[in-house]
Amino acid sequence: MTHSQSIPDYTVNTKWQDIFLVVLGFLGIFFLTLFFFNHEFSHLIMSGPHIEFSFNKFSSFLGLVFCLSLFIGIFPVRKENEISKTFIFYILGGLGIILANNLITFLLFWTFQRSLPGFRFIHGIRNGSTSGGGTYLVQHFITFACLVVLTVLASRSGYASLSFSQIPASFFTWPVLILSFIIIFESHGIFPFHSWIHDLVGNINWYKISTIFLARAGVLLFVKLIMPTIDQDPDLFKLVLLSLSIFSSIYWSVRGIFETNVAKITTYFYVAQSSLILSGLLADRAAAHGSYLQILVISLSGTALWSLMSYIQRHTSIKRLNQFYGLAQFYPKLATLFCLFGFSMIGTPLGAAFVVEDLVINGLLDQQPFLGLGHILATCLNGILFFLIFSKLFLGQTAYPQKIKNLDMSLGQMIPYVLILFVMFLIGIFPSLFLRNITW
Amino acid sequence: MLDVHNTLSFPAILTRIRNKLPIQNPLHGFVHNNILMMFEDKEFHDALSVAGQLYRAKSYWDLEQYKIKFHENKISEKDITDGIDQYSLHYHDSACAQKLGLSLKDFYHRLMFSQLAFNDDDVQPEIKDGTLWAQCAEKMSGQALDLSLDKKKYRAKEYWEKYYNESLASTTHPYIINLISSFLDQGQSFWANPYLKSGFWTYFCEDLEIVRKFGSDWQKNLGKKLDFFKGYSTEQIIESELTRMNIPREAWEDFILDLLFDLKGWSGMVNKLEVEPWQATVKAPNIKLVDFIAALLLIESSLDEYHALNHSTDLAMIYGREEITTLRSFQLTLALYQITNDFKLPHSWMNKLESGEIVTIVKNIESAEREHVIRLWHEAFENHFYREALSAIVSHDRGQLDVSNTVAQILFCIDDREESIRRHVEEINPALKTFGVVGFFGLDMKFSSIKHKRLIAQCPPVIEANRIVREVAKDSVNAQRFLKINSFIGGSDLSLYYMSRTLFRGFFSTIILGLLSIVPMFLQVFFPKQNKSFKLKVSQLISPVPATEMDIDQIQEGQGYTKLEMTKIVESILSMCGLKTEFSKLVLLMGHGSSSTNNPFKQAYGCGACGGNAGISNSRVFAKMANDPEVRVHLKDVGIFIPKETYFASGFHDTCTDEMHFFDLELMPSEYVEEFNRIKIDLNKACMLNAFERCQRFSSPEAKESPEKAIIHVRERAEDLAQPRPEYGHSNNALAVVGLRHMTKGLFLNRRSFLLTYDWKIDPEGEILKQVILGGIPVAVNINMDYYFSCVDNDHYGCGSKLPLNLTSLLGVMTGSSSDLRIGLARQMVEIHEPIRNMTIVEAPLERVKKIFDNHGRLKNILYNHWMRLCVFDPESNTWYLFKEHEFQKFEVEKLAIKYFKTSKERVIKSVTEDDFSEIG
Amino acid sequence: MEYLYLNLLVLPFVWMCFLGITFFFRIKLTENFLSESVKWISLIMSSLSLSLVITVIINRSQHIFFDYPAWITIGEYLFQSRFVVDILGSTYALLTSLLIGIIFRFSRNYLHKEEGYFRFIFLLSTLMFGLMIICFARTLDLIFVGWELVGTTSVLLIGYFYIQVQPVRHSLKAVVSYRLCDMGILAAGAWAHHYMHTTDFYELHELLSSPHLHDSGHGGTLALAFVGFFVIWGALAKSAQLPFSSWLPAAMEGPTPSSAIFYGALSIHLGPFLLLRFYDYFTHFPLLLWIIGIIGFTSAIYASAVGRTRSDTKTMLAYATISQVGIIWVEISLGFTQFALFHVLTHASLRTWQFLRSASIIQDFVENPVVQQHEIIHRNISFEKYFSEKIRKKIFIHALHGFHLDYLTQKTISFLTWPLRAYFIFEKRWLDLNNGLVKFLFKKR
Repeated sequence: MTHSQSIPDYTVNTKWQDIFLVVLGFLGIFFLTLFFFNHEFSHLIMSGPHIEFSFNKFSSFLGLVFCLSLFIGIFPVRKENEISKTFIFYILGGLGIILANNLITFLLFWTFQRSLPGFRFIHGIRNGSTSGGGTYLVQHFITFACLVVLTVLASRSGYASLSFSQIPASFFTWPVLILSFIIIFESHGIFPFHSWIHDLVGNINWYKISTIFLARAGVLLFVKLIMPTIDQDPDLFKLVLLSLSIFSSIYWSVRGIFETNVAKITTYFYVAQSSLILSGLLADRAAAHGSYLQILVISLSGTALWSLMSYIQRHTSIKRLNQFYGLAQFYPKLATLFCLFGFSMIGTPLGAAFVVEDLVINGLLDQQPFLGLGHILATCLNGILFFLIFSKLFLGQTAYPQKIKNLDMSLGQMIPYVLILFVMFLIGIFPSLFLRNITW
Repeated sequence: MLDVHNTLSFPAILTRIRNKLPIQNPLHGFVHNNILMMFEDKEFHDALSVAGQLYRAKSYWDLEQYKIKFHENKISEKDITDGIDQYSLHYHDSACAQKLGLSLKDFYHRLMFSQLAFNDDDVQPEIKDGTLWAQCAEKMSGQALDLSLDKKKYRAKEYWEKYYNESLASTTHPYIINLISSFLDQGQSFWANPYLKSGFWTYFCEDLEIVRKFGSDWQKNLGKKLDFFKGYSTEQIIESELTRMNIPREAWEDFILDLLFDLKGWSGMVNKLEVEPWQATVKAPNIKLVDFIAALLLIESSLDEYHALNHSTDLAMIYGREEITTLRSFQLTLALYQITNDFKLPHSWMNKLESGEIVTIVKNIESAEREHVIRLWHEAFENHFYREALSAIVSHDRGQLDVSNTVAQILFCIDDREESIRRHVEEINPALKTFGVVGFFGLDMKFSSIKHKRLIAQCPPVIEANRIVREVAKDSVNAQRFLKINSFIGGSDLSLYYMSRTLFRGFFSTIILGLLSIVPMFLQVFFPKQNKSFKLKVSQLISPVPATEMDIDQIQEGQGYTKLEMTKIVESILSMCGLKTEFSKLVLLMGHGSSSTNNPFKQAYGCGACGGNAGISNSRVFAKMANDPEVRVHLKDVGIFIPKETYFASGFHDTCTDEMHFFDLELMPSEYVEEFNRIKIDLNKACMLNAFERCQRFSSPEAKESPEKAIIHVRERAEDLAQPRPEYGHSNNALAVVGLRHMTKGLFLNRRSFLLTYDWKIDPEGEILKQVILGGIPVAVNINMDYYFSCVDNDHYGCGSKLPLNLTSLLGVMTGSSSDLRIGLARQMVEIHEPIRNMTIVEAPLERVKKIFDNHGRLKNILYNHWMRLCVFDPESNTWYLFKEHEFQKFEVEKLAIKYFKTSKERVIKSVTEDDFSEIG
Repeated sequence: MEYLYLNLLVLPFVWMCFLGITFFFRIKLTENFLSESVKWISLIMSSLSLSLVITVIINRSQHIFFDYPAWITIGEYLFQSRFVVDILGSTYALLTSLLIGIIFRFSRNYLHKEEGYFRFIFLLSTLMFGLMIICFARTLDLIFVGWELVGTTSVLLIGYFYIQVQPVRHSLKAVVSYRLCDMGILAAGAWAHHYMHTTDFYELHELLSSPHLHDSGHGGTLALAFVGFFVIWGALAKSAQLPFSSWLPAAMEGPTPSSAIFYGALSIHLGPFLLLRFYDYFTHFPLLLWIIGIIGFTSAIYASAVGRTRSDTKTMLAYATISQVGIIWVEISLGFTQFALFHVLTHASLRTWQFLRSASIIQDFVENPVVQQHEIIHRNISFEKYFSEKIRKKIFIHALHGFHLDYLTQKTISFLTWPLRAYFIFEKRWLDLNNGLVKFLFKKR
């Protein structure tokens, strides 16, 4: 039931925040230079006894996107969000996954990052504060088990500490494929192994959840481990992967349409968009480029949308999206930003996602004509979900106006968002600029 | 069953409900009405608070708007004190003031300037005075105060909306609006509703019979209810349903009213078509308000049951619930702190009172703040205008009545828009004397023009029009041809309207007419004026309107007037203007009206006295009567000596295009024509200046440059298809002056005053004054109140913006594809209006005025309940009286400085917005 | 010739970007400046398109192609930017610039002092840009760009009064229909790429009519038929044919000029325009022509029946528009493409005129000599005379409720999403089970 509670106003200690933002900014620039001047040290590999990191083009791209979107997501709303100390571990875990070059390092950092929320849930259950988290722990335990079995199998034939690219195609027998299939889909939140996402929302802060997604563990494993030898793998494997990732996007959109909790809806919209990345990668070369671009678009716009939503939730007491709140009268600048980000994500022409949509769909359809229709249905449902969120939040007039403070965003806060928007529409109008220098 | 005259019997409740429903006519017969006419027996502010709850509207401007006026010193300190005096005459809850040790007036003054906001739970108080806070906290510790709205809530609608966001409007209104708009349709849809004769209730039941198979669950509930109530009469259904919902009989009236006011437009129209079926655009269907109530009630109760089932809540708990908001001790301390600061009370005032008493004080102050603050500000705002107006009129040196060289006497309507044209006419040619008389010239007639046979009542709705006057062509030969062509064009227009929207005939009409329609569209949008003249030429060619005359003689009962009746009418109008003997050679009778295109509210701009229509027929009929030699003979023995050479000419002033047309000129004696043409030149110059004055309020820059450009702009505005503001109509009307012209001659009143001519010297017993006041003042108050309510809350009292309006069933307008029928005026019509109650100034002996107001029911109510304000200037004793506390009190008018300008044009250029009144000439 | 139609494309785009930039840098444009500049733009556009039409007629209306470097090239996939100037495209461009010019002039006074005036002008310029792309596009991908732009501006203008709830709710209704049907065009473009490696109408036509169609690795006739079907599916929502015609009467929430230009003239006729563009393709598949004919005929009958019971101007005009567009679909299916284009032009101008004049209906009726008082207006009903009183009453009630189209769509949506909603419930239970399990494991003893 929607009552108007008073909005707690508290001071945020910014000591930790400034450190995090500086670290993120520094890392972002580091990865940026790495990405652009990549041909010199594309083969740079740091390798300890078993740990091996690689700074190739794809990893540096993922790292760049990771730091940039987190920085731009948190910087404008830093006064509104109390960043907790454990956030640094999430960042380290995420970067570890991105740079991992062999199974052991991937296992290590994956368990490190995914266990952090796990401890939080266990702590919550122990003193009875949070009720959720059960599925998260169960599913992650299963995946952890699969990962361990996979590394054991690999180490038996000596590939465990070998870097991904050197693993021969013969290694990918049926059990290995099934195990990697489970790990990839679980960590990316694809249909059959997706229920842990329901627990995340509401118990974990939004920027921590976005670190988990921005690490793109599933995508990384797929691109590094499976991708090079994809054509030798049996067709059935690719077909199952493709159909499940498309179906999961449809699942998340429909789930978002029927959901009313505000925080959950944004997460479902984000995950619905990101589960289309895998379907792009599975199709041919053009679609892969499309998904490459999609990772950039979703990370930047998605995180920006999330931070806008956290800004709204901080200043209003909106819990359930079951009526038209009409915030546009109170937050005109915020409404325009939210709307433009959404348009650039759901594929309106002149937005970045239109190019992505076109590439991925055409690439996909060259592979599977009928499955491609599923992808088209998914993008259309995403569009409907976005319009639903936007009109429920910003348009209309609520019969019982909540206690809404007219604190629209200051111009200073808007500059990072405007930057991303400029990039998005630049991609939308001149896509060839970006697509040219995306290579593997 | 309780007998009829018992107040709780259903018929009694029904009649009380009928009175409270909106009373707006279908748009074709729109007349300005005080929409709270039925509340006039209550004091103004009480009526507004009752109506505010009923219409769910705010009855005053926002507080900020008054505060802005205060900062622009449009409200001065003196106004505030006068306003408080005026207000505290009637509202003196001084109990609370004594407790604070303040006088009532002081209490009100501090209340107005206090910023009490203690029941807003997250206001962060900046506490400057710690000790006071501690003191308040100590006093208020452990106290709690519940501010419960006294009335129990019986409707579950708010409950569902507040806690489950189930909005009744979005689920049931599209269904019922669809039914009612198709049943009340006057001819706009191609298929007439087949149930028009059998009545709304049978239609509602048979419609549900089909829809329940395809409808949602609550419609299935509704179907079951209707099966249960088969064969019952609608009254029985309502009574049994209300008793089943165990709502006490006393609450029935409020419950049904609240139910009807969800769709206030439609319910008002259903009631209007049942009570006054002749008002319908074409033919009123067989509908009764009781059927509509039964339908709405059953829909609501079946929806309640559906929701109760879904959300598993017990309905009994919802019906008759109490909404209570409690103030905890923290808020009470905050309240006490704010009260002590805002009211500048000594800190020790609360020591002698114990905390229980202080809580009641807080309760009283909270309710006082909610009720009185906005009213006090409104009184102060109005007071500023009254003071300015009175001082302008008092300090205006009237000079003596110069009757000497009057070239012509022109009778204008009392309308406030005519004030500016009369002023311009007098400035241009002082020899032209203007008079203000009721626009329908006393003719209670139904007029049918030659073009279409409809009998249109050309008199105020208050008067019962029973005489029929026809416009007859002079020679019947080309009249027959004209009528034949005209009805052919009309018939083809009508069938084209229906055909172009159907399937096969629609196909053919699109093919033939499609590309043709680009030409009129292009012309009318880009060149409105040339398009008008082109259309006139074409219609002159095809069917020239034959020369016509008015057939006013009485052949059989109810047709035309006898000579005696004519003399009576002419005598009453001429004596109103004080014209007994001195008649100039030419007397012009200027009716008025307004022409605009693509405007559903065209009727609202017409002449209020002629029932919203143009006053052309009235002025032509009156001129014919006055020129009739036989009538002049009868007039002599009634004391009115019209010299033989006086000629009455009939004219018409279009307030939108500022054109003046004259009729029956061929009857005018030839030697007057040259004189008449010179007058016409002066009149046209006056029209240009009038257009120039009006254009200052429009925003197009080139119209403000010169009168020549202004007249062109104004005429283009009337023809422009896309113009939501052809003219600003009665905006800013606030004054009515009853008396001779010399009281206001040479005074710039900024088009804000009705001017009624009355000569007190020639009317010893006050008979003429009675006619003047009865004819003019109720109309002025109606117009003033209609504009007041539409301007104050345009969404609930008015009909919102004109842009999305959608004409329905030839009766009214809806917003968007389906909504409630909208009442009141559009935002574009009232955007510059200032909501001020009408002040009437009468120049006549006090006794006469008192006698009239005391023995007329409505006038008494309006005056005694402060719906208007009355000042009387007794010329005999040269003293001013103001009506206060139910009796006339002498009062001294203080003279304020007033600006002086040479001509109206100069005044208009100089200061458009600042002060309204200034001296001219 | 080339610079003619190029300017028609570039001008609205530049004007749109200019408005966007001024909005972002907080420069407040005055109303006069906006209306003056918009007047000049529509003047230039109309003269350009007029001269274009004349040049096309002079060289006996054969097609003139213009190719430009592909917008996106990755490997063998390229987003061709190819344009064509022919009689169909240029006449529609002329109709667009003329009507939008009239609407701009109309809204100068109509929306005077409205705070949403800038937004109105910006959306109409985006509409103009989208329509120009559709008029001159030669590939399905380009048409999809214009299609989406027109769809988004139409939705945003339905919700013009975004303060009230009903316009927002009805704009959501329009969003769902638009998105579901734009899917069709995207699918058609993608399948054409896949099977024919091109989405250019003329190339498709040549490939289809060439004898050695099947051996050069192109898909079977069934797949190609599906491409045609997807195009029809794409054109359904824009011209509000059955089953997507319940959103149009609800879309009358915006200001009258925006309803006039969208649902009287330009956005509603994009469906027939696309079908005319794709007509050569359909000639190879008679079945598709039958489908077009049937859809058009049924929606015409449906809309005219429901339209006859409507008693308010705007929804009545909406249903009348649907029935006329239904007839245009039937004309296309029977092959009268020239006549269909003529019918589009006449219908667009008539409806815009009727929408703009819709506020003076009461004046027309009251001043009409034939309309008597106290007598129901005689309406010469055509075929209804042959039904008995009882049946006519039943038809009237069904028609008044739009033959329960909303109810049927509700039912289909809940049927289609039933499996997913069942899974949601199952998943909820599974989540609780897990929570219970974990609580049991980690609870302190």
